[in-house]
Amino acid sequence: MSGLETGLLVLAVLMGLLALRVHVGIGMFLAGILCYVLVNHGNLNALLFTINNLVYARVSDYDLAVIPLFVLMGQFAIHGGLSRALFRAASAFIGHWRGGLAMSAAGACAGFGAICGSSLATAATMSQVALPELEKHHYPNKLAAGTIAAGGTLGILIPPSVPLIVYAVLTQESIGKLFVAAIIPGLVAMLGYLIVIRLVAMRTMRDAPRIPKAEWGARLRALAEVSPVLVVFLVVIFGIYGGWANLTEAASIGAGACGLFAVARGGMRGDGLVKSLIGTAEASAMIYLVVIGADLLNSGLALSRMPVELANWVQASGMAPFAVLLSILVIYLLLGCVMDSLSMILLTVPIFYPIVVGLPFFDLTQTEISIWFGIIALMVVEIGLITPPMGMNLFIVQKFSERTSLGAVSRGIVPFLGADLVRITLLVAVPALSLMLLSL
Amino acid sequence: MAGVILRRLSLGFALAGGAIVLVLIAMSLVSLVGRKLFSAPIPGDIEVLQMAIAVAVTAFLPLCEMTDNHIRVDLVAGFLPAPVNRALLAIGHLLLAAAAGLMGWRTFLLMQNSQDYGSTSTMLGVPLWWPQGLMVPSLALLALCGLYRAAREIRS
Amino acid sequence: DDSVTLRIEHFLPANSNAQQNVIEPWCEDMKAASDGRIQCEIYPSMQLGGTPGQLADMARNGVVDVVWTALGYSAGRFPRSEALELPFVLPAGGETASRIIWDYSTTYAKDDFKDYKVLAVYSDGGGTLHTARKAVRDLDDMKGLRVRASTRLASRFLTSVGATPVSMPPSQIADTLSKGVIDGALAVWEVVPPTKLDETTFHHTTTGPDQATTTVTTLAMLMNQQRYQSLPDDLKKIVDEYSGEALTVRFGKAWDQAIDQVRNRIAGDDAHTIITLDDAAYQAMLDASQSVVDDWVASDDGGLDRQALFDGLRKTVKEYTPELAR
Ligand code: NA
Ligand code: NA
Repeated sequence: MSGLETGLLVLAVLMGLLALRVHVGIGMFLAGILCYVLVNHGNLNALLFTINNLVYARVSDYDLAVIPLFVLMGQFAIHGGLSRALFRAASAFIGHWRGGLAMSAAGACAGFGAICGSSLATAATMSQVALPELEKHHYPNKLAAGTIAAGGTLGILIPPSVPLIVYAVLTQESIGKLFVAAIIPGLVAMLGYLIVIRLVAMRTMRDAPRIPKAEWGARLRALAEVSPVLVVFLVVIFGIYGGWANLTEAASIGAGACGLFAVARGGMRGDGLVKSLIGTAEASAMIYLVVIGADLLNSGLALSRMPVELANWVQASGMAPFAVLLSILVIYLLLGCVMDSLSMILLTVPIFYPIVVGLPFFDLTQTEISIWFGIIALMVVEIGLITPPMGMNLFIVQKFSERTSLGAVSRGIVPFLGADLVRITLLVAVPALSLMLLSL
Repeated sequence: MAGVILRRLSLGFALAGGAIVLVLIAMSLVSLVGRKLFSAPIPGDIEVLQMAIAVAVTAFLPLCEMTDNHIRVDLVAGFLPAPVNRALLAIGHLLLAAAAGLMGWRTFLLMQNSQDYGSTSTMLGVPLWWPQGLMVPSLALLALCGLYRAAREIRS
Repeated sequence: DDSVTLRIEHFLPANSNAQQNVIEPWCEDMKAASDGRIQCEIYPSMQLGGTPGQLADMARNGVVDVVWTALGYSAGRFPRSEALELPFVLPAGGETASRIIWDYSTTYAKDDFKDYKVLAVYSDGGGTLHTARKAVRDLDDMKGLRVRASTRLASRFLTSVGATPVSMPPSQIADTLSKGVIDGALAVWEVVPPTKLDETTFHHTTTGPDQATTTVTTLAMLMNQQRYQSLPDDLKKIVDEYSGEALTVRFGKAWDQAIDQVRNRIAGDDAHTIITLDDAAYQAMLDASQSVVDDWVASDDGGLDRQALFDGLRKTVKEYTPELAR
């Protein structure tokens, strides 16, 4: 069997296992084992000793270690009431507009995304904070649910971002640079969502009563409440990128600051701390189990030479670079219908990355392509979070809203998906949107 | 009964891991301040972080299995009759238990190997079998939790 | 069909000096000499999993056939070879130091490698001190300097001369240097371009031609013992012919070439100054760092006769470089 055949067979088996509801991390682990067995013709020695090193190598990885820190930072922010404060501040400014409360919810999601690395946590906390308010003010079900589900993705689109950390580890790219590169695309995403909400509200809420405009005093007080968010975000991003703190230290400052805020202002006590730690444990465990399984699968695929052969094949085929990129994006969109974002990054980056950085795009250098592709990949796997039938954010929003069916969430998300596609086209066509801040 | 014990154990492991993360945060901050103000970073802080986070993260794994939150693709769940779904889930948890058992066994061998050869961390010379050994109980507990979840699916 | 494919893993990218200028040509030579019966598959950047510190083990256990690694990454595994990284023992540069290391590794330190087929053990050329703002001319200039180091003995050396060693991944060196988080890095010229030290540091303090270098990082290419034994005799002969001292010198020369290239470029650039320690400054640093050697010799880890090892190394160094001042 050629490497390409081995690789494709193993990936087909993986898809079968996942369809049969095997855990993603375990499915990848088993597919990795199959790869070693096929390539080494049943000799298990290399496989077994690879597994010896597997777990420790992954869980002791220095760059991945910031994931639990960023997760804890988000947990502290939730239990310290920062998500609620963000929503209040946003609605003090724009809540009185038509569709303003939904826009405030999207804005609060973006603010929360600036201190939280996970879209699950963002969608979950904003569902609890904003959904009841939106329902109280008679926002249509579909709009409310769509806003929170789409807004939740800002948790990973705006740095810090767990999928970007994993992309950086897989490609040996700088996490700091990727975070900075993601800032403008993240803001563009937020802007796109605000426009969608506005358009939908103009159509469906023409006669709905509006909430009164807030006084400037109340606005400033609300703004002061959320100032820690801005401080923490700036410290983390510019601490890392500016180089005066390393990644771990910046994440530690962020987690420490959010923890202190949660105790001092949010009234977090012992049980809040315990809840934060448990939340951190579960979210980190979910991530690391997939990371461990993906590591064995990826070394198995590397051993089969499938990624190298595939990259050579693409280069020899003479396909136009943008046709290749488009095919990859389509594969991402299809996979995104059934897989979660992190598993997709872990599964596909080792296969697609060598292809993409080997092709010419505009007149970008290899490093620029590497960062640009990281941002585009993040944007397309993010769509997976909100595409039916398997969209984590859709499930979360539905879980927190009794009167909204999964069907309603799925229909409500459609206009937001439109905004996502427009944004991705924009980012592909204009790499400067991703690379601009890096050249400052 | 087994469920209660496993739940408490996995919760205890997760909280112990969480406590480690809190200590690491404190250490990073002290190291940063030390380096900024006194030009005296904690030597080998990177290594300590790597070894401690390895122990902490592994300790997180069992709780996530007890609460059944490890990531799955539940695409077909809606189309299948309940008994088939339960059978699939039971198989999934059994596979997780088997994989965890395999990882625990091989990590144990890694620990022995590090012990035999006197492997240490680069800067501080901390024996590597300490963190590696502390990971083994977590992986064993993960395997037990997988078995428990499988049994529950079969019984219900 | 008795052709073999050697799987080779290492921790640097595919375009590194090690892979491009030595490992790939070496594979080509063996392929030609064996009429295509010896082939290599190279896995850069730890593609087959594990950490750099686990590479030596991976070769020993047969996860891969061959690894290229730094011995210091697997701390504790090669205790006799640690002597090579003690301060001011080996000459600077690749080739001569590598011959010395090969000699020492096959005599005094050979028990370190009894589980392996050793293909090469060599010197990275020795550390130059690259500093961003402060020019280091003597021992006093070292006081309080925060310097990035990559091995345990390099850290001890820095501490002994009054500097503060800092450890960090290579990817962070440039950023932290340009922001003044650290003041410099102790590193061989060869890694200056990939870690961008040529853009972030402007003073480069080196030792002179008849002085020993600060400290070296010992690099090695190791093969799985059983895999080597399983080769047909004529292929074994080809591997032997192209490995051992031949490959060690090949690495040493490639490093010398890379070092010269970088050093000449820096020397010709007005933004940079290269400082060679004068005899007094050299002697002062050597004296200050003697404690590192003494501590190593006095340690009873692993029950080795460390005094004999150190004396053996000194004797070997004297044979190759009688003019070296120590
Ligand atoms: Na974020
Ligand atoms: Na989806």
